Amino acid sequence: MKIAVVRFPGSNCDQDCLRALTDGLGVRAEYVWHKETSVAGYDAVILPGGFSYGDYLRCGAIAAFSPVMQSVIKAAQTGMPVFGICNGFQILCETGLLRGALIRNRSLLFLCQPVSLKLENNRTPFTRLSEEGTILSMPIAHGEGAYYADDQTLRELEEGGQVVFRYVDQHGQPTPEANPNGSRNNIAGICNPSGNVLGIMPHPDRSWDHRLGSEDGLQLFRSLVDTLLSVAA
Amino acid sequence: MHRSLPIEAELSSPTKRFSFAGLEFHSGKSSSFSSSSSSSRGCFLPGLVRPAAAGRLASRSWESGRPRSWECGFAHPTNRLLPKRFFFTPPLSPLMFFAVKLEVVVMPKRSVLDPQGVAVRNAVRELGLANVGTVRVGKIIELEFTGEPDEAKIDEICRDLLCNQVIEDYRILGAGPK
Repeated sequence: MKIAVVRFPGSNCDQDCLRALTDGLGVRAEYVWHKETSVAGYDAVILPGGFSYGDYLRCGAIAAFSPVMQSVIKAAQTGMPVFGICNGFQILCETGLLRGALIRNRSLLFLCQPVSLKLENNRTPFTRLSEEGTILSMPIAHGEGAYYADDQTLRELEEGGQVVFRYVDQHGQPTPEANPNGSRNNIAGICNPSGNVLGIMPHPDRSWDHRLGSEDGLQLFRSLVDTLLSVAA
Repeated sequence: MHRSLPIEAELSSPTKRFSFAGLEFHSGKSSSFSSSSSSSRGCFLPGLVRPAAAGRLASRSWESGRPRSWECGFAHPTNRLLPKRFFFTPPLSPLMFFAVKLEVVVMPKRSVLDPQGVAVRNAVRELGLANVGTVRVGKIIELEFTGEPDEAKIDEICRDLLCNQVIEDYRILGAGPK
Protein backbone atom coordinates (compact mmCIF):
# COMPACT_ATOMS: atom_id res chain seq x y z
CA MET A 1 0.00 0.00 0.00
CA LYS A 2 1.42 3.35 -1.05
CA ILE A 3 0.03 6.80 -0.40
CA ALA A 4 1.04 9.75 -2.56
CA VAL A 5 1.79 13.15 -1.05
CA VAL A 6 1.76 15.64 -3.93
CA ARG A 7 4.27 18.49 -3.90
CA PHE A 8 3.76 21.76 -5.74
CA PRO A 9 6.24 24.62 -5.86
CA GLY A 10 5.38 26.37 -2.60
CA SER A 11 3.81 23.45 -0.73
CA ASN A 12 5.19 23.48 2.81
CA CYS A 13 3.13 20.90 4.73
CA ASP A 14 4.26 18.00 2.59
CA GLN A 15 6.78 16.80 5.16
CA ASP A 16 4.19 16.93 7.95
CA CYS A 17 1.78 14.83 5.91
CA LEU A 18 4.47 12.31 5.07
CA ARG A 19 5.66 12.05 8.68
CA ALA A 20 2.11 11.63 9.97
CA LEU A 21 1.83 8.59 7.70
CA THR A 22 5.33 7.08 8.00
CA ASP A 23 6.09 7.87 11.65
CA GLY A 24 2.58 8.09 13.03
CA LEU A 25 1.20 5.00 11.32
CA GLY A 26 4.17 3.23 9.77
CA VAL A 27 2.72 3.09 6.25
CA ARG A 28 4.52 3.72 2.97
CA ALA A 29 4.12 7.22 1.64
CA GLU A 30 5.98 8.97 -1.17
CA TYR A 31 6.30 12.46 -2.55
CA VAL A 32 4.90 13.02 -6.02
CA TRP A 33 6.18 16.10 -7.84
CA HIS A 34 3.57 18.23 -9.58
CA LYS A 35 5.07 17.49 -12.99
CA GLU A 36 4.39 13.74 -12.75
CA THR A 37 1.66 12.66 -15.11
CA SER A 38 0.18 9.71 -13.27
CA VAL A 39 -0.77 8.70 -9.72
CA ALA A 40 -2.08 5.33 -10.88
CA GLY A 41 0.36 3.32 -8.79
CA TYR A 42 -0.88 4.77 -5.50
CA ASP A 43 -3.82 3.87 -3.30
CA ALA A 44 -4.63 7.35 -2.04
CA VAL A 45 -3.51 10.93 -2.66
CA ILE A 46 -2.89 13.67 -0.11
CA LEU A 47 -2.76 17.30 -1.25
CA PRO A 48 -0.82 19.08 1.51
CA GLY A 49 -1.04 22.67 2.67
CA GLY A 50 1.20 25.58 1.81
CA PHE A 51 1.31 28.33 -0.77
CA SER A 52 1.41 26.52 -4.09
CA TYR A 53 2.64 28.83 -6.84
CA GLY A 54 2.79 31.58 -4.26
CA ASP A 55 -1.02 31.79 -4.22
CA TYR A 56 -0.68 33.76 -7.44
CA LEU A 57 -3.93 34.72 -9.19
CA ARG A 58 -5.97 32.78 -6.60
CA CYS A 59 -5.00 30.16 -4.05
CA GLY A 60 -4.65 26.84 -5.84
CA ALA A 61 -5.73 28.30 -9.19
CA ILE A 62 -2.54 27.47 -11.05
CA ALA A 63 -1.94 24.16 -9.22
CA ALA A 64 -5.31 22.97 -10.49
CA PHE A 65 -3.85 22.92 -14.00
CA SER A 66 -0.61 21.09 -13.21
CA PRO A 67 -0.02 17.71 -14.91
CA VAL A 68 -0.37 15.69 -11.71
CA MET A 69 -3.80 17.16 -10.96
CA GLN A 70 -5.18 15.93 -14.27
CA SER A 71 -4.29 12.42 -13.15
CA VAL A 72 -5.65 13.02 -9.63
CA ILE A 73 -8.98 14.20 -11.06
CA LYS A 74 -9.32 11.06 -13.17
CA ALA A 75 -8.34 8.86 -10.22
CA ALA A 76 -10.85 10.61 -7.94
CA GLN A 77 -13.58 10.04 -10.48
CA THR A 78 -12.85 6.30 -10.33
CA GLY A 79 -13.07 6.31 -6.54
CA MET A 80 -9.50 6.77 -5.26
CA PRO A 81 -9.47 8.54 -1.87
CA VAL A 82 -8.16 12.09 -2.19
CA PHE A 83 -7.51 14.20 0.90
CA GLY A 84 -6.97 17.94 0.48
CA ILE A 85 -5.66 19.84 3.50
CA CYS A 86 -5.77 23.65 3.58
CA ASN A 87 -4.15 24.62 0.26
CA GLY A 88 -5.11 21.13 -0.93
CA PHE A 89 -8.76 21.96 -0.18
CA GLN A 90 -8.37 25.17 -2.17
CA ILE A 91 -6.91 23.21 -5.09
CA LEU A 92 -9.75 20.65 -4.97
CA CYS A 93 -12.32 23.47 -5.14
CA GLU A 94 -10.49 25.07 -8.07
CA THR A 95 -10.49 21.79 -9.99
CA GLY A 96 -14.20 21.33 -9.40
CA LEU A 97 -13.83 18.03 -7.53
CA LEU A 98 -15.40 19.85 -4.59
CA ARG A 99 -18.02 22.53 -4.96
CA GLY A 100 -17.73 26.07 -3.65
CA ALA A 101 -14.64 28.20 -3.10
CA LEU A 102 -12.40 29.48 -0.32
CA ILE A 103 -12.18 33.25 0.03
CA ARG A 104 -10.28 35.73 2.18
CA ASN A 105 -10.93 35.51 5.92
CA ARG A 106 -13.59 37.92 7.08
CA SER A 107 -11.19 39.62 9.49
CA LEU A 108 -8.59 39.97 6.69
CA LEU A 109 -6.11 38.46 9.15
CA PHE A 110 -3.99 35.36 8.72
CA LEU A 111 -5.23 33.09 11.48
CA CYS A 112 -2.95 30.63 13.19
CA GLN A 113 -4.80 29.10 16.13
CA PRO A 114 -6.41 25.88 17.36
CA VAL A 115 -10.09 25.38 16.58
CA SER A 116 -12.77 22.95 17.71
CA LEU A 117 -14.41 20.90 15.00
CA LYS A 118 -17.47 18.70 15.08
CA LEU A 119 -17.36 15.59 12.93
CA GLU A 120 -20.72 15.27 11.21
CA ASN A 121 -20.20 12.55 8.61
CA ASN A 122 -18.43 9.29 9.41
CA ARG A 123 -19.19 7.62 6.09
CA THR A 124 -16.05 8.76 4.32
CA PRO A 125 -12.81 6.70 4.19
CA PHE A 126 -11.21 9.36 6.40
CA THR A 127 -13.79 9.42 9.18
CA ARG A 128 -14.95 5.80 9.37
CA LEU A 129 -13.24 5.09 12.66
CA SER A 130 -14.76 8.10 14.40
CA GLU A 131 -18.15 8.66 15.97
CA GLU A 132 -20.50 11.25 14.56
CA GLY A 133 -20.68 14.24 16.84
CA THR A 134 -17.10 13.90 18.14
CA ILE A 135 -15.40 17.20 18.85
CA LEU A 136 -11.81 17.38 17.63
CA SER A 137 -9.14 20.01 18.18
CA MET A 138 -6.87 20.94 15.29
CA PRO A 139 -4.92 24.06 14.32
CA ILE A 140 -5.78 26.30 11.40
CA ALA A 141 -3.24 28.44 9.58
CA HIS A 142 -4.70 30.37 6.68
CA GLY A 143 -5.52 33.79 5.31
CA GLU A 144 -8.06 32.60 2.75
CA GLY A 145 -10.11 29.85 4.34
CA ALA A 146 -13.67 31.15 4.46
CA TYR A 147 -15.82 28.62 2.65
CA TYR A 148 -18.31 30.14 0.24
CA ALA A 149 -20.98 28.56 -1.92
CA ASP A 150 -24.23 30.01 -3.20
CA ASP A 151 -27.49 29.23 -1.42
CA GLN A 152 -28.48 26.44 -3.77
CA THR A 153 -25.13 24.63 -3.44
CA LEU A 154 -25.15 25.09 0.32
CA ARG A 155 -28.58 23.55 0.58
CA GLU A 156 -27.50 20.57 -1.50
CA LEU A 157 -24.39 20.05 0.60
CA GLU A 158 -26.29 20.16 3.87
CA GLU A 159 -29.08 17.91 2.69
CA GLY A 160 -26.66 15.45 1.10
CA GLY A 161 -24.63 15.17 4.29
CA GLN A 162 -21.55 16.42 2.49
CA VAL A 163 -20.53 18.73 5.33
CA VAL A 164 -17.97 16.67 7.22
CA PHE A 165 -16.49 19.17 9.68
CA ARG A 166 -17.94 22.31 11.21
CA TYR A 167 -16.40 24.97 13.45
CA VAL A 168 -18.05 24.69 16.88
CA ASP A 169 -17.49 26.03 20.37
CA GLN A 170 -16.56 23.82 23.32
CA HIS A 171 -20.18 22.78 23.73
CA GLY A 172 -20.45 21.64 20.15
CA GLN A 173 -22.59 24.54 18.91
CA PRO A 174 -21.72 26.20 15.58
CA THR A 175 -21.89 29.76 16.93
CA PRO A 176 -20.60 32.83 15.06
CA GLU A 177 -17.93 33.26 17.76
CA ALA A 178 -16.66 29.76 17.04
CA ASN A 179 -16.31 30.63 13.35
CA PRO A 180 -12.78 31.98 12.92
CA ASN A 181 -12.88 33.05 9.30
CA GLY A 182 -16.46 33.76 8.20
CA SER A 183 -17.15 30.44 6.45
CA ARG A 184 -20.77 30.06 5.46
CA ASN A 185 -22.61 27.75 7.87
CA ASN A 186 -19.35 27.39 9.86
CA ILE A 187 -18.18 24.82 7.31
CA ALA A 188 -14.62 23.61 7.88
CA GLY A 189 -14.55 20.59 5.57
CA ILE A 190 -16.71 18.99 2.90
CA CYS A 191 -16.67 15.87 0.75
CA ASN A 192 -17.98 15.02 -2.70
CA PRO A 193 -21.24 13.07 -3.13
CA SER A 194 -19.46 9.70 -3.28
CA GLY A 195 -17.40 10.57 -0.21
CA ASN A 196 -13.96 9.63 -1.53
CA VAL A 197 -12.74 13.22 -1.88
CA LEU A 198 -12.43 15.22 1.36
CA GLY A 199 -11.19 18.77 1.74
CA ILE A 200 -10.66 20.47 5.10
CA MET A 201 -9.05 23.74 6.10
CA PRO A 202 -7.63 22.70 9.54
CA HIS A 203 -4.42 20.70 9.72
CA PRO A 204 -4.56 17.06 10.85
CA ASP A 205 -0.91 16.87 9.74
CA ARG A 206 -0.09 19.32 12.55
CA SER A 207 -2.05 17.41 15.16
CA TRP A 208 -0.96 13.81 14.80
CA ASP A 209 1.11 13.55 17.96
CA HIS A 210 0.64 14.72 21.52
CA ARG A 211 3.94 16.61 21.19
CA LEU A 212 2.19 18.84 18.65
CA GLY A 213 -0.56 19.69 21.09
CA SER A 214 -3.26 17.39 19.78
CA GLU A 215 -3.52 13.84 18.51
CA ASP A 216 -6.96 14.24 16.96
CA GLY A 217 -5.66 14.54 13.43
CA LEU A 218 -4.08 11.10 13.43
CA GLN A 219 -7.53 9.51 13.50
CA LEU A 220 -8.23 10.79 10.00
CA PHE A 221 -5.09 9.21 8.59
CA ARG A 222 -5.69 6.03 10.58
CA SER A 223 -9.20 5.75 9.12
CA LEU A 224 -7.80 6.14 5.63
CA VAL A 225 -5.18 3.42 6.15
CA ASP A 226 -7.75 1.14 7.74
CA THR A 227 -10.10 1.61 4.78
CA LEU A 228 -7.34 0.88 2.28
CA LEU A 229 -6.30 -2.27 4.17
CA SER A 230 -9.87 -3.55 4.39
CA VAL A 231 -10.45 -2.89 0.71
CA ALA A 232 -7.24 -4.64 -0.23
CA ALA A 233 -8.03 -7.64 1.96
CA MET B 1 40.84 72.47 1.40
CA HIS B 2 43.68 72.27 -1.01
CA ARG B 3 43.90 74.15 -4.30
CA SER B 4 44.06 71.91 -7.31
CA LEU B 5 47.57 71.32 -8.59
CA PRO B 6 48.57 73.12 -11.81
CA ILE B 7 48.55 71.05 -14.96
CA GLU B 8 52.27 71.02 -15.45
CA ALA B 9 52.74 69.52 -12.08
CA GLU B 10 50.22 66.85 -12.93
CA LEU B 11 51.87 65.97 -16.18
CA SER B 12 55.18 65.60 -14.57
CA SER B 13 53.92 63.55 -11.70
CA PRO B 14 55.03 59.97 -11.77
CA THR B 15 51.54 58.55 -11.29
CA LYS B 16 50.02 56.41 -14.00
CA ARG B 17 46.85 57.90 -15.34
CA PHE B 18 44.12 56.37 -17.35
CA SER B 19 40.70 57.45 -18.35
CA PHE B 20 37.44 55.62 -18.38
CA ALA B 21 34.12 57.01 -19.49
CA GLY B 22 35.46 60.49 -19.40
CA LEU B 23 36.67 60.29 -15.81
CA GLU B 24 40.34 60.32 -14.98
CA PHE B 25 41.69 57.76 -12.61
CA HIS B 26 45.02 58.02 -10.92
CA SER B 27 46.86 55.03 -9.60
CA GLY B 28 50.07 55.02 -7.64
CA LYS B 29 50.54 58.24 -5.74
CA SER B 30 47.01 58.72 -4.65
CA SER B 31 47.64 60.77 -1.57
CA SER B 32 48.59 63.95 -3.39
CA PHE B 33 45.31 63.98 -5.26
CA SER B 34 42.97 63.01 -2.51
CA SER B 35 40.58 65.68 -1.32
CA SER B 36 42.17 68.18 -3.67
CA SER B 37 40.56 68.97 -6.93
CA SER B 38 37.34 67.26 -6.16
CA SER B 39 36.39 69.73 -3.49
CA SER B 40 37.61 72.75 -5.38
CA ARG B 41 35.76 71.86 -8.54
CA GLY B 42 32.63 70.74 -6.77
CA CYS B 43 33.00 67.27 -8.22
CA PHE B 44 30.74 64.68 -6.71
CA LEU B 45 33.46 62.04 -6.63
CA PRO B 46 36.05 62.61 -3.94
CA GLY B 47 39.61 61.53 -4.05
CA LEU B 48 41.15 59.81 -6.98
CA VAL B 49 38.70 60.42 -9.72
CA ARG B 50 38.61 63.83 -11.33
CA PRO B 51 36.35 64.57 -14.28
CA ALA B 52 38.24 65.84 -17.29
CA ALA B 53 37.45 69.40 -18.33
CA ALA B 54 36.80 70.06 -21.98
CA GLY B 55 39.05 73.10 -22.24
CA ARG B 56 42.29 71.40 -21.46
CA LEU B 57 41.92 68.30 -23.53
CA ALA B 58 44.74 68.71 -25.98
CA SER B 59 47.37 69.34 -23.41
CA ARG B 60 46.27 66.56 -21.19
CA SER B 61 45.41 63.99 -23.78
CA TRP B 62 47.31 60.83 -23.09
CA GLU B 63 48.37 60.34 -26.65
CA SER B 64 48.92 64.04 -27.36
CA GLY B 65 46.77 63.65 -30.40
CA ARG B 66 43.19 64.54 -31.11
CA PRO B 67 40.90 63.98 -28.17
CA ARG B 68 39.42 60.52 -28.13
CA SER B 69 35.85 59.85 -27.14
CA TRP B 70 36.75 58.63 -23.69
CA GLU B 71 38.75 61.76 -23.02
CA CYS B 72 36.02 64.11 -23.99
CA GLY B 73 34.41 64.55 -20.68
CA PHE B 74 31.72 63.05 -18.58
CA ALA B 75 29.53 60.55 -20.39
CA HIS B 76 26.25 62.34 -20.56
CA PRO B 77 23.80 62.80 -23.39
CA THR B 78 24.22 66.58 -23.28
CA ASN B 79 27.96 66.33 -23.90
CA ARG B 80 28.23 67.21 -27.58
CA LEU B 81 31.89 66.24 -27.75
CA LEU B 82 31.07 62.60 -27.43
CA PRO B 83 30.15 60.78 -30.62
CA LYS B 84 26.56 59.69 -30.93
CA ARG B 85 27.41 56.03 -30.99
CA PHE B 86 28.69 56.34 -27.43
CA PHE B 87 25.18 56.57 -26.12
CA PHE B 88 23.01 53.64 -25.27
CA THR B 89 20.59 52.68 -28.00
CA PRO B 90 17.86 50.34 -26.93
CA PRO B 91 17.75 47.02 -28.75
CA LEU B 92 14.78 46.13 -30.89
CA SER B 93 11.99 45.87 -28.36
CA PRO B 94 9.88 42.71 -28.47
CA LEU B 95 6.96 44.90 -27.55
CA MET B 96 7.06 46.22 -31.09
CA PHE B 97 5.72 42.89 -32.25
CA PHE B 98 2.71 42.51 -29.90
CA ALA B 99 -0.13 44.02 -31.80
CA VAL B 100 -3.24 43.38 -29.71
CA LYS B 101 -3.71 44.08 -26.02
CA LEU B 102 -6.64 42.83 -23.97
CA GLU B 103 -7.52 43.65 -20.42
CA VAL B 104 -9.57 41.19 -18.41
CA VAL B 105 -11.26 42.73 -15.38
CA VAL B 106 -12.08 40.19 -12.66
CA MET B 107 -14.41 41.37 -9.91
CA PRO B 108 -15.93 39.49 -6.97
CA LYS B 109 -19.62 38.74 -7.39
CA ARG B 110 -21.98 41.09 -5.63
CA SER B 111 -23.39 38.22 -3.58
CA VAL B 112 -19.99 37.40 -2.10
CA LEU B 113 -18.89 39.32 0.96
CA ASP B 114 -15.74 41.22 0.04
CA PRO B 115 -14.03 42.10 3.33
CA GLN B 116 -11.22 43.79 1.49
CA GLY B 117 -13.75 46.06 -0.20
CA VAL B 118 -15.36 46.81 3.15
CA ALA B 119 -12.00 47.75 4.64
CA VAL B 120 -11.26 50.03 1.69
CA ARG B 121 -14.72 51.56 1.95
CA ASN B 122 -14.16 52.40 5.61
CA ALA B 123 -10.84 53.99 4.78
CA VAL B 124 -12.40 56.03 1.97
CA ARG B 125 -15.07 57.28 4.35
CA GLU B 126 -12.44 58.21 6.90
CA LEU B 127 -10.62 60.21 4.26
CA GLY B 128 -13.66 62.34 3.51
CA LEU B 129 -15.96 60.75 0.93
CA ALA B 130 -18.91 60.20 3.23
CA ASN B 131 -21.38 59.21 0.57
CA VAL B 132 -19.41 56.22 -0.74
CA GLY B 133 -21.53 53.10 -1.06
CA THR B 134 -20.26 49.69 -1.95
CA VAL B 135 -16.59 49.25 -2.69
CA ARG B 136 -15.27 46.07 -4.27
CA VAL B 137 -11.68 45.20 -5.03
CA GLY B 138 -10.86 43.15 -8.11
CA LYS B 139 -7.95 42.65 -10.45
CA ILE B 140 -6.97 43.42 -14.02
CA ILE B 141 -5.02 40.93 -16.10
CA GLU B 142 -3.37 42.33 -19.20
CA LEU B 143 -2.65 40.02 -22.11
CA GLU B 144 -0.62 41.05 -25.12
CA PHE B 145 -0.88 39.02 -28.31
CA THR B 146 0.98 38.86 -31.58
CA GLY B 147 -1.70 38.96 -34.19
CA GLU B 148 -5.38 38.33 -33.57
CA PRO B 149 -6.22 36.04 -30.64
CA ASP B 150 -8.86 33.31 -30.86
CA GLU B 151 -12.03 34.70 -29.23
CA ALA B 152 -13.44 31.37 -28.13
CA LYS B 153 -10.15 30.35 -26.56
CA ILE B 154 -9.88 33.63 -24.69
CA ASP B 155 -13.32 33.06 -23.16
CA GLU B 156 -12.33 29.56 -22.15
CA ILE B 157 -9.11 30.77 -20.52
CA CYS B 158 -11.01 33.51 -18.69
CA ARG B 159 -13.63 31.07 -17.43
CA ASP B 160 -11.20 28.32 -16.42
CA LEU B 161 -8.09 30.09 -15.22
CA LEU B 162 -8.38 33.83 -14.83
CA CYS B 163 -11.78 33.86 -13.13
CA ASN B 164 -13.29 31.51 -10.56
CA GLN B 165 -16.91 31.58 -11.60
CA VAL B 166 -18.11 30.55 -8.15
CA ILE B 167 -17.01 33.84 -6.65
CA GLU B 168 -16.00 36.14 -9.51
CA ASP B 169 -17.23 37.65 -12.76
CA TYR B 170 -15.06 38.79 -15.62
CA ARG B 171 -15.35 41.23 -18.46
CA ILE B 172 -12.94 41.86 -21.29
CA LEU B 173 -11.86 45.36 -22.22
CA GLY B 174 -10.23 45.33 -25.61
CA ALA B 175 -7.63 48.04 -25.72
CA GLY B 176 -7.25 47.44 -29.42
CA PRO B 177 -4.07 47.59 -31.45
CA LYS B 178 -1.17 49.26 -29.69
